[in-house]
Amino acid sequence: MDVLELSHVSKRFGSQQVLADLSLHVPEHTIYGFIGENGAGKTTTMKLILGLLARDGGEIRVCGEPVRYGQTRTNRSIGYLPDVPEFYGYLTPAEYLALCGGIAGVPACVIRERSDELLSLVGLSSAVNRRIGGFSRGMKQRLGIAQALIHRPKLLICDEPTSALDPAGRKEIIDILNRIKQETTVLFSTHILPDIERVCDEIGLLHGGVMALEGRLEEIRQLHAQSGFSIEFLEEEDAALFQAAFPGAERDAATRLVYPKGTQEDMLQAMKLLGGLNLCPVKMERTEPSLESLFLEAANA
Amino acid sequence: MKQFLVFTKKEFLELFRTGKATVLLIVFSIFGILNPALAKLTPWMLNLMSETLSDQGVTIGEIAVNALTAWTQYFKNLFMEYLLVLALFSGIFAAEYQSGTLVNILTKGLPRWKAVMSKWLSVFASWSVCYWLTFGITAGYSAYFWDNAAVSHLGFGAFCAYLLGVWLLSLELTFASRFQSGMYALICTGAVYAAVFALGFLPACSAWLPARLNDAFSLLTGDLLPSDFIRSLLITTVLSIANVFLSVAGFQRKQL
Repeated sequence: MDVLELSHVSKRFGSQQVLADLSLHVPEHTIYGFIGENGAGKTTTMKLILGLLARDGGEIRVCGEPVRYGQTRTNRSIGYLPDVPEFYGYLTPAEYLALCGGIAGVPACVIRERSDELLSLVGLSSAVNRRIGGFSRGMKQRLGIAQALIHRPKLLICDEPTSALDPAGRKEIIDILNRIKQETTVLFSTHILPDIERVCDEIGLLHGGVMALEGRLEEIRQLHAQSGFSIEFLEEEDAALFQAAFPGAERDAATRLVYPKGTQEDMLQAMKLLGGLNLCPVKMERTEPSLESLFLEAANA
Repeated sequence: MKQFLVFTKKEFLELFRTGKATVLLIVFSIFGILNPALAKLTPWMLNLMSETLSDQGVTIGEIAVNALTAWTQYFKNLFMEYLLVLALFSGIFAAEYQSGTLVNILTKGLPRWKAVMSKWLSVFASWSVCYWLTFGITAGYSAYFWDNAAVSHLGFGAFCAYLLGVWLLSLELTFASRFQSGMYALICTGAVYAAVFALGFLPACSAWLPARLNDAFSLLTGDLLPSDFIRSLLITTVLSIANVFLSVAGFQRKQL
């Protein structure tokens, strides 16, 4: 079952067409990486899903229910973490979670238990009585995840949750997302590709207002695989000698040759030639297309 | 109902923890004390200045001070009171729009009209408490020093001034729910008030406009009667209620 479905959604701000004809489907219990360069329309899409912005065309459904602009019942099934979550600085995390839980209709006795559980999950148990005003950006981001999960939503929408964080903060957020995968579906927007590779099952690449690439990460890799190989030598002269004997390489470093279109047979032939030339490489490996190359390939298509 | 209560609790917590409630209570208490104090001190101050003034040829006779003097001061200070609450609450929506704090709350399923009503409740509760606190302090001191019986229709006059404040705040909240900046809400409220005030100079419509409530002091002196205010009171009440609906409608369509 698809927790989230967008069909032919369009949105324009003045003369700028942000989303042209966007369709996407997020199946249950997946972490969906929503990729796109800055200004691609990721945040706009999320705000449309949340009913915070009015769409110009198309349809959005959350758990089968249509999303309406302004006042949408579908938000009961959604937890939302904005890119820079802002809170009432005069409240403590426990008070803020009680506020969110109360609004989401969670019974008071459950809120306390759930708050303790979530604050422990996001590592804020020790700051439970501190006012949020004094929190660091990373702490706010973690509290943002806690507030988004207070009502056990079926869909968690995270808008670039790691973009403003240092590597340690990013790892913490990714680890939390991995831990909650069993209980909720996650739509996770970012332009930090290693984060997507670490946590996402499916990806969708938004470019030019449409989905330029969509599917399971592994399948996309295979479809777009230009299975090449690379050979790394100790000496620069060895690399030059081999390149002359076996053309078609790109030098991405003085001692490293990359054959981006090299097949398995090419690689076997290269091995024979290495023996023939009496050259011993430091490393020889098959290369897989990185998410970055897929991203650039789709963006430039 | 639970959602409304939870969000209203947050609004009141905000009032206290951000210090707004303290500022309002202190300033409005000072207003309340200042009205009778100035009346009480007027003869003494004039007496102090009498020698200097007599050197300049000005002779000061016997100064008669009574409750009406304190209430004159009370009505003179009202403009400052309106301005203070309007300035303090002008950013009630803008602060949330600019920081994005409402996004988390609305995406939890809080109906927008409930968010608006909670804000209304906190603003009007603040205004009511502060206004009647000032009134109570002034009335208490005036009764202690003089006799409030010297002024007529005191309660009704005070209610007219209170309702004018309610209308101004309702107007401000209507603008505040639409604008990203509290300053715009304040300016628009001032502009509408100025327009209504200017219209009040036309004899044909003066009795129908909220601006008539500015003349509430004339009730105390007996120059005007409560019946002269009935139409204005009704119109002001209707306009204030209409503003509640307008602010809900404005917020309902606000893109966040």
